[in-house]
Amino acid sequence: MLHVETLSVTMNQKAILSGISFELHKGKILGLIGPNGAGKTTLIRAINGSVDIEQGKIVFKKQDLTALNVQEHARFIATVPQNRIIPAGFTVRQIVLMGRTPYLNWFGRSTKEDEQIAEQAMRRTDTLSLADVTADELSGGEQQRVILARAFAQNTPLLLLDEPTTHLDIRFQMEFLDLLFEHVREEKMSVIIAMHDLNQAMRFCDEVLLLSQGKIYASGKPQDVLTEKKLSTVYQYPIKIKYNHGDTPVYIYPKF
Amino acid sequence: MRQSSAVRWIVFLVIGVLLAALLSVMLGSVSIPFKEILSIFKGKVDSGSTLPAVQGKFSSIVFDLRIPRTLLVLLVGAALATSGGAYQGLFQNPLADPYLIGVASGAGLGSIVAMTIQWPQDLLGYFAVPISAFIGSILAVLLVYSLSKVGKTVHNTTLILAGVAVSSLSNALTSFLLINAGGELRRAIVWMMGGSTLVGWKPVIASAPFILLGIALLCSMGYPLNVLQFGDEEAQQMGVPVKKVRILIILAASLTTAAAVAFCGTIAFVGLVVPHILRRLVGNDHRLLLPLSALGGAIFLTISDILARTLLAPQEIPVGVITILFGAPFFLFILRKTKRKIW
Repeated sequence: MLHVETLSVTMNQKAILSGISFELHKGKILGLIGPNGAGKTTLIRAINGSVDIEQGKIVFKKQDLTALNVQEHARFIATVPQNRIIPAGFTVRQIVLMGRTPYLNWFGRSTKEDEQIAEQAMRRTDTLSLADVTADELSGGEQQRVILARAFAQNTPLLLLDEPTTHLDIRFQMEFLDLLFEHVREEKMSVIIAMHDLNQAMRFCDEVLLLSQGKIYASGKPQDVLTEKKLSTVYQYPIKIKYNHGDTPVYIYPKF
Repeated sequence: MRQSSAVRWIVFLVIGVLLAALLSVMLGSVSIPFKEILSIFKGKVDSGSTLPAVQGKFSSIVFDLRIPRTLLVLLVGAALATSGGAYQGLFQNPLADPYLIGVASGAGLGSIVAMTIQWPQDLLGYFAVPISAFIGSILAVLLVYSLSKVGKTVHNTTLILAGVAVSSLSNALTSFLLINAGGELRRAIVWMMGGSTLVGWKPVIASAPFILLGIALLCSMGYPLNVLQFGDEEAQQMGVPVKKVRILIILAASLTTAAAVAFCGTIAFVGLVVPHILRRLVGNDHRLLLPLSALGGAIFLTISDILARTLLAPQEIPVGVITILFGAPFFLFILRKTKRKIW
């Protein structure tokens, strides 16, 4: 239902992305992997309209996303960005309610329904008990769940996440990903998530796109894309994979 | 911030405004007791009665001097504090007040240009001053903003530096024009120090529409300003038309500042101190913060103005001197504290 066709992005006369085409079906989770500078973040920002695309189409349910105004656009796509910004002096509840912005008027007047949706989003992300705490006082892992709750409250069919677990410790990483994927599976949301951790990509994603220098190097099911040969070529470092019962990959690691 | 406590804050500050206004009408080089004021108002209502001579004198002080001055000061205080709060939110910078980012100095230059062409005498001349100030402030803010913009982001430090530079430049040009102003020099200098030498109703009538419109616009933009705290890109992802909001806020805040500066000159720190105190008390929800800033600014400047009139009476201190005497120490306090908490 999401079609990206021959998408190209150029910044300062340098091609950052070229000829990106892929499809994402309803309820599927697509992982973006690839080395630093491969174009993962730019692809996410191109799909959500933060960077201008030079060429190509982004069509969602027959709707050309680039033709929508800001408010309509925000009803289709929610983004959890790479750098977490938590402005000071707002409670968790206030921040999660801001996820409802695309459905509110200029004055931000929320209805009972908006408040219930926000509450549900907080319950889903295990932040309801923090609702009336000032969000900038929370730990990094809790703050990231607040941002996730805000994105859930936006109630979009498509969710983009840019390395959402980068600065979290291992427990918060797993908690975050578990909460995320439980919710999106239940709501049948389509998800695009940029990841650095190849093992997490293998474990959670239905499909992966392996990006290299702004192009798609390989795409498909995780076990087909995440191979020693492909990964070693793209990351320019020897990478090993441990298999279980012959063919199920269980652990990806750099060669020591 | 819950609804009920928001209402409580507003009621509390409205009462504060009324009390400050009453004091401002009562106090001055001649003090007028509350009873007298009541009877003057009564006398004005049933105009048939003949008033004793002394009451007639008070009556003219109250209606021709004290009330218009009080109204002007209330408006100007509200204007400076609201636009200060809005600028801080817009640039996500605790130091962004109309003076530090050059808007007020630009407005000052604009008003001096209008005043040197012709010192205002009729009402039309009075309207020319805020309009010229508005143009000056818009030019200043655009200059500062474009100087501090690197790519798509605005650098906070550069913003302040550019603001200081543009401020100094406009102040220098203002001084240059003042030197050539000849006979109006003394009046203009008092104006620059933040003392209104323009008495009577005309400055009130000329600035009120701009200030009230500007404050109303700013207060209506509290919610988009909240979302903007997440940065431009995220705010856009949440459905806020960022460019439109930014331009509207800059226009409204500059209009408000300009109208204030046009008749009261340079009154620093109101726009910095008042929103800061309120942020600490009620949090950062701009839907509440901006209206409260308007009320708080009105109170702060009115009390400063009362002090300015009474401390060395009959000599009058420019109110800008008083606000700096209060504001500067507070500013230093914020600089030390700013690493923690609210920003």
